Amino acid sequence: MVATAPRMTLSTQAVLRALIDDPEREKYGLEMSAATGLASGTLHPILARLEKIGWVESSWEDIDASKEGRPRRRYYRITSDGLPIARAALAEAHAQRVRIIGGFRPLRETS
Amino acid sequence: MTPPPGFLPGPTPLAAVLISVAVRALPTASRNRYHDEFRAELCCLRPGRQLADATNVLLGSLALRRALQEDDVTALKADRRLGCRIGRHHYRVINGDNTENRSDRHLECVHCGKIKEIDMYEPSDGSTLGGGVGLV
Repeated sequence: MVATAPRMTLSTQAVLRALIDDPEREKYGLEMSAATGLASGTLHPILARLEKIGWVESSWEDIDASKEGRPRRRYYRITSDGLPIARAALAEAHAQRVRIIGGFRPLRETS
Repeated sequence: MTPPPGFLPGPTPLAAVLISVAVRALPTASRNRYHDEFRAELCCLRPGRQLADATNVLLGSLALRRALQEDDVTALKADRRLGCRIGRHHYRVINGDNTENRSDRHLECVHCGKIKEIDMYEPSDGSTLGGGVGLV
């Protein structure tokens, strides 16, 4: 069996880091954009993929919109199942990056 | 002037149009959700930012559509290693359920799951001899 995992692009890693940073806290799109530096057009496809594979869940804000004077927001949080997998995936991505960077050794100076 | 009770601030008309167009690109089942979600996010922004953000949502709508529509197979495909991408798979033999039938086997790539039939030599019964010339 091959595990279903998203491509760990730098953007995906940034989104996961923002969610893992405080796993109990739900964040909405604009907050995520501010935390990751990603625009909405980039952020939402990543969130949709993560949600589809069960690493992230989302729900509507439970407020009285007319009382609050603004529409309810969609909040995202990392799932309890997704948290350890996402941490491992981030660690693996980091290790891979270190390996790649380590592969580029400086050229020896020729005398 | 205070807004009437029940009035909710919305995005500027132009931003609202951009969001509506962006949402039309999405699968029908997801349109309402994202329409409400994008509108809720836009109405917290200044008009200038709303336009920029709505444009960005529009530009990303096809990517969002792909993300919503892709099944697990596509997700796996996206996660393929470089070797798989260039056709250099790492196959292993997978036996079928019938252990007595040795021909019930196939190859499967351990990285991307691509399945390949095993090329087995099958002795000819002579019916194909002659290359279609028609031997009597």
